[in-house]
Amino acid sequence: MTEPALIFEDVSFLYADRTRGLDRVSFSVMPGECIALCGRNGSGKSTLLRHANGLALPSSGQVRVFGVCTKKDAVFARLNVGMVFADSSAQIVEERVYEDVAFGPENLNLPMSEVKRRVEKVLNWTGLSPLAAKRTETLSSGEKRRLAIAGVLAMEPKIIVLDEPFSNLDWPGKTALLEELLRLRDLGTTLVVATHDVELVQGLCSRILIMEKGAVIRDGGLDDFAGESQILGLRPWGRIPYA
Amino acid sequence: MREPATFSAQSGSSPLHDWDSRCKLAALVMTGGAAFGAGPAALAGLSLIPAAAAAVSGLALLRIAKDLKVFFIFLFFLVATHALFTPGEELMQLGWIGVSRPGLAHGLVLAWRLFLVTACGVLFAATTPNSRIRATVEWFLRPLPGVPHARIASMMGLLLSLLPGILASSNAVSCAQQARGVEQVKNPVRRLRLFATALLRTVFSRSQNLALAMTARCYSDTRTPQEFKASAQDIAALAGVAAFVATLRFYA
Ligand SMILES: Nc1ncnc2c1ncn2[C@@H]1O[C@H](COP(=O)(O)OP(=O)(O)OP(=O)(O)O)[C@@H](O)[C@H]1O
Ligand SMILES: [Mg+2]
Repeated sequence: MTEPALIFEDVSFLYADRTRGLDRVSFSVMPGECIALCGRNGSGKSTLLRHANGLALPSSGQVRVFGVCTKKDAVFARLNVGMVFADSSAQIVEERVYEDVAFGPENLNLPMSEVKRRVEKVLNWTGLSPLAAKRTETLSSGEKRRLAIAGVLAMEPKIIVLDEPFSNLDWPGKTALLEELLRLRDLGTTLVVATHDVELVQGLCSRILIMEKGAVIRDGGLDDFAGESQILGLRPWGRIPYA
Repeated sequence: MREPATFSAQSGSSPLHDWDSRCKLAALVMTGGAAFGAGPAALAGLSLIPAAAAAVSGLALLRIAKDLKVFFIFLFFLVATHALFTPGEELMQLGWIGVSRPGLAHGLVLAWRLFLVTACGVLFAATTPNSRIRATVEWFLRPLPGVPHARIASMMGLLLSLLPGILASSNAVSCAQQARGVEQVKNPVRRLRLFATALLRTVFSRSQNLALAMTARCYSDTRTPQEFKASAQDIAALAGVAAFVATLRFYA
């Protein structure tokens, strides 16, 4: 039996102000699997993703990446799990587009020729090549999103977790990103995508986790949710204030 | 909202941009070092170096000067205090207080030195990307035994990426406060306090975000070493600066 890429075992997390960020979360993701993480605002999606690459460590329980506990070796988790933040500008660290994409591979201490190869490849994929010399803070928010993703891709992680990657993108931007994610999936990358847009990712993800108040309340294949579009928030429900 | 231009590299491909960053830094240190203790004649000579550099840099000098407004005010006060409070031969009378000739001369020389060093530093920073500055500093520190060169270089890099951030934050904070009617607050002390606390909070969260983002992408001290290439022209230019500075030392 193959080992899961990512395991959450009874993970709870309390923020410093005693807010319960995660409440006894357990699930596992197999290598190459793509899952969607859904739930209303404040349900704990971002908190969960930060645990996947060791940026946050559980208050109790454990998170394991390819069998290695994030509490024991957070660096291993970060090497294997790339994270795309919800706020792209908070993820950009360098002054120029090219330098920012090179930042990760340089941290891996790769030879300069390999760094260059990866940066050029990723800039091509993401269509950022024409902007390579541009100052990062002058990018539009959609371009920043692409840069944030490019910076993660250049590290070639086996698992990528994305926090609401479709927000702030126009329709062609969304479909281009979706194509990018499909390509990654076909290359065998494991993906966890937090999103409010299940309709968009249903061709990408085969499984959906639904969170509420820090807990995973549903976990199942796409088929399990057939006819339940309301639960997913696919269609508006409840009273629309002006209706 | 205008982007601050001073503490970050501006794109361009001028001879100054292309000059090998190690040579550029060495020239900066030489010129700046020679400025300390230099008299008016030597200062006039040394000033030719940043003047020539600025001329070939193609930078928006006026914009940079605007960013440095506070610095110029500081220089003015420096000269004024020296002129007014140094005893000596009186140049003229301003009301009840006299302007002393040696004080004025001394103040002007001090201000000139500071201006010269700052001008060199700004020209360097404005034509060299942060990552390059970081690598250059590391390159110079590496041969020194017992110096945590990688650590120091990362600290410098962090500082360099935060400086323009702080300027941008202060812009953003004042815009955000104006948009919500801070002009209605008539008490200037209260207004300053509102501004300062908001700015501090923004800068703090900005630096925290930066640290988190760097951690997420495995920031470490052992990074891919940057490649340096110094052409014969690069070295010749540095030799030229060195010869010029040495000549001034002897004859001025
Ligand atoms: N640093 C923090 N300190 C205290 N509480 C926090 C902190 N960060 C998040 N929380 C709280 O933890 C809960 C989960 O937040 P999280 O950001 O994970 O939600 P989310 O599902 O990503 O929401 P959204 O869809 O709005 O992005 C929220 O109630 C939030 O208020
Ligand atoms: Mg979130």
